Amino acid sequence: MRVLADAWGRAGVRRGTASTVPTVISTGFAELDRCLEGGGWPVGVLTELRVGRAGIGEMRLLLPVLAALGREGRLIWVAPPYRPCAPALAAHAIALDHLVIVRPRTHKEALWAVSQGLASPAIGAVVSWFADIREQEFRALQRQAAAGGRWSFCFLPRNLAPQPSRLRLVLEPAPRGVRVTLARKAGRPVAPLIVTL
Amino acid sequence: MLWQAVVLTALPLEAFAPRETPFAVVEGKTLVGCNACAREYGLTPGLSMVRAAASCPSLSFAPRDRAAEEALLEGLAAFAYGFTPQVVLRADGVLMRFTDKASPVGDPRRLVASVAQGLADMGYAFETAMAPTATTAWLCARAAMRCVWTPQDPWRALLRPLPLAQLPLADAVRAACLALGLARVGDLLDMPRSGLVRRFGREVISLLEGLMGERSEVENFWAPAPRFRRRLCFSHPAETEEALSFALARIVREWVAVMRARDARAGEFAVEMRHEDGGLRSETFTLTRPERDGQVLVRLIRERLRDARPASPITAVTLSAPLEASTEGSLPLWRDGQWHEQGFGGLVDRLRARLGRDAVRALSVRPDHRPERASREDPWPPQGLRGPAGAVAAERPIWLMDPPERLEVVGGVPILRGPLRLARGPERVETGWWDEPVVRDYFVAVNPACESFWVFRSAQEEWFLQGYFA
Repeated sequence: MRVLADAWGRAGVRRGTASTVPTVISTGFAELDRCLEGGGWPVGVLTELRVGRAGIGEMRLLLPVLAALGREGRLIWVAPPYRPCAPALAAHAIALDHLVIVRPRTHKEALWAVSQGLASPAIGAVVSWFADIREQEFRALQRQAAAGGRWSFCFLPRNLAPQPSRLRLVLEPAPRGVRVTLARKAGRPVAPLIVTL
Repeated sequence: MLWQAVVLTALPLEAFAPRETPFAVVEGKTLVGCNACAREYGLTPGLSMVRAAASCPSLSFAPRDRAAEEALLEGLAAFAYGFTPQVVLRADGVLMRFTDKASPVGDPRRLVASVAQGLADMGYAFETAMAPTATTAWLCARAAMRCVWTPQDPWRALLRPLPLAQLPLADAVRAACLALGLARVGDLLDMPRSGLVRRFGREVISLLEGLMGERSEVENFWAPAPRFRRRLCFSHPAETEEALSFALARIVREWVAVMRARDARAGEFAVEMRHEDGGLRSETFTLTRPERDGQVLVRLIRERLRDARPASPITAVTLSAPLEASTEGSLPLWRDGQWHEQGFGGLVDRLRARLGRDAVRALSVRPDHRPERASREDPWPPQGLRGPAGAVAAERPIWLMDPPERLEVVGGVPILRGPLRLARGPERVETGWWDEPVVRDYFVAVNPACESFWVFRSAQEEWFLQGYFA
């Protein structure tokens, strides 16, 4: 079935049941794909990722999809918490000349940079880190993500008040992987799973 | 040969930023220009300051700014240069010479219309006329006749009924002519030249000869400047962002017209703002690719100026940019990849304009064994190696700590939110003897909460956190 679907996709065959416009992109992890509606990260959604502390595999969860999106478009990372290690990213197949790191000075500038990225057709994915965000600010970014039709991911601290997102993942450390709780998603609820990295 | 004259009818006023309240430019004690608001009060140039102030109490004045006018005329000449390489600069306008060799004319009416359209786009008040001689063209433009005369037209006959008052004659000469019963240009032309020389001197004859095209009008042609520089003074210091961006939009309109004429594009430019307290703020802009779209340029300037509230009101704003012919073509419409590239360049320009050059960064790999030096984060665009340098060890963390963070050690075991278990390692990194000798044993460490880190033990048996396996 999978082979057939791929062949149809390659041939550009329009099927009555499915839109030809891709609405999801595979996460690169089969077990996570199975739990997400449509089988991957949804487009036009500001995906909320809740992480308690750095060092639990939160980036390795995203790198397969970022590598795929960075081949065609550009990647923009707004306010990453530490210095990204270029050799490590290159080893994960991230095209470094397609990656822009934005270091805003203020929260307002960060919001502006994210919104610019979301609106630009040249951008494949926007990843942002916020220590705090107000509900209406999150809503505004969510609207722009929907209008721009980009993939976007937003890292927020674990203990922040819940945001009105359409997809929220809570990430926790686990041996040889990361424990993912899909706290908010379309479709039926699923139990927390452990993604092996 | 054809000459087109362009006269700026409100030059003293154009040198100032437009205002919504009555405003006049004065020289000595006399008005030399007033805006539409002031005209509603019945004010005209030539009126004395005292009388003007009496009839319109809310009127504000500014002394005439000759330097700004000259800069404006330079801009006008540069615009005219786009139509013909033979441009003559006059005190309040320009003359453009069209010869079939240097600048094929085509339909003169369409040419005049396209010049007029360009002038209107720049927001000037102007009069223009075309005639076979420079003197005639200038005279017709001055007289607001809006005529387009070619050598095929009976232009000499059309010139005859013009009143003598239109000719640039000395007042004494004009009065003497009127006393002789010479009221029109034709009357003067019918007089014997030798008599006119004896009565009024050579100047009158050379004027008539120029008018009729009987002598060659050799003029000094204007040479284009290598830079665009335009200064706009505010008659009333600008405190609001709107006032400033209005003035900037106007300068950019002129600038774009000049760039079009010179086939140049903006790659780098500077905006200078003079504050009322004497301070000077200068902003330099560098674009990823040369640009000529006025809207894009205005947006870039606005993004930069948005967050910075002016400390004190701004009295003048200057834009300067080199005018270099650009070989870069216009946007290719058919190549998708290129479009993406352009859109991306625009995004980087916008980000840099608002956030500063240092805020937009790129990663690169350097051939250095010290991990904190192997990975570089520099201002955009990316430099150095983009791919992996040689054999990159697979075990590198995503986040780096620079400088490394010292870890607490209890009983020989490093502690980071619990004792660390060394999962893999050691990897010996020993290099940099030429500047800073480094001997480190790297380990992948995991704490009881299953968070994984990259730590190293130095030669002094101290433990450091180098990065997070995020």
